[in-house]
Amino acid sequence: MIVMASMMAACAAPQAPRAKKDYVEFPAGNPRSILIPPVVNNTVNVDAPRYLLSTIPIPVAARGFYIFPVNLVRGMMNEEGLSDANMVHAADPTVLGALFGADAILYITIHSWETEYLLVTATTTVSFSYVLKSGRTGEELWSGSAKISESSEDGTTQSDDGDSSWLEELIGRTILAAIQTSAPDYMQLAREATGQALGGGDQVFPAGPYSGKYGKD
Amino acid sequence: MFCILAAGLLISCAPQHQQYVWGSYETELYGYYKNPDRLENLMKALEAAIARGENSAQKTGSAGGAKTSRVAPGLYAEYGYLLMTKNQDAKAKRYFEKEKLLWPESAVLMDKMIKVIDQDQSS
Repeated sequence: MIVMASMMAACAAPQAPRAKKDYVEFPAGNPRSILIPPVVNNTVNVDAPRYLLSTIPIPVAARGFYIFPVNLVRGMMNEEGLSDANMVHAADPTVLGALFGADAILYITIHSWETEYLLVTATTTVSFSYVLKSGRTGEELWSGSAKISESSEDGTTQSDDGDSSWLEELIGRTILAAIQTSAPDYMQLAREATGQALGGGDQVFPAGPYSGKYGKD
Repeated sequence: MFCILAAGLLISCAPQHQQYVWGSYETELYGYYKNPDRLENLMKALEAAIARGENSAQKTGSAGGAKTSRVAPGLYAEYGYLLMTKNQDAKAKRYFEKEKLLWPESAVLMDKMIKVIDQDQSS
């Protein structure tokens, strides 16, 4: 029996409380595993989905879920004729759920990105949405959308309503990094996003079973 | 090199959140997506991350003998899959079994992969 002792240890240093939603729970059951199928990309930047798929496992796992190996999933889906992201997103989630044994499926769609130029400053805004569906019943467990902007002047990012969750920040910043092909910026934003995921902040959905926060936030 | 999780520790709560060792998996995975010739780099990154995850597990073994593995979710399976693409089925199967043992959530998928290998070998 594998004992995940480190997961159960509570954070020693108290976190400064941020504005939190009321205790939230999944509408039905608590998913232990999350599958991320191909991302629908409605932009011309072909790097964004690849970047997203290669960087999202770490923070989702840090949030306490088992995340299916993205490259294996990609290979298997291609073999099963499921390589078209739009088709996959429109299909019955329970089919994917049964194929992989996934409790939940996270569908991400990148809608658009634009860069505005003002003198020497460029501000890029990416717009995306995501839906988490049960792989068992097909019902929607969670969803959200956001616009995340990054300014070239000081490298800061912000969201459209100033209240985005760690997942939205992560997805948004990752896409921005791919668009701007700025590897050093990516490192910084990835650290921040991961830090947010680990340290708390507004939660997009409850922690998974491998997180020390399971059942507590 | 690109240990995102370790870097994240600098601004978040310390050791107890350092659950897994990812190594440079993320960077090499992206590199591989951009350029399939980088398959070997990805495999080496997985080997290194797995080795470190297994080695640090031994150090944190509790007094009762139970060990906590720090191999990240999916890494054994990813490595196994790449081995399959190189026709190293027997070795791939061992890694799928490791993934299944460490992560019960992977059982359905791992059983499928193991079955594919068994069928290939018996034909």
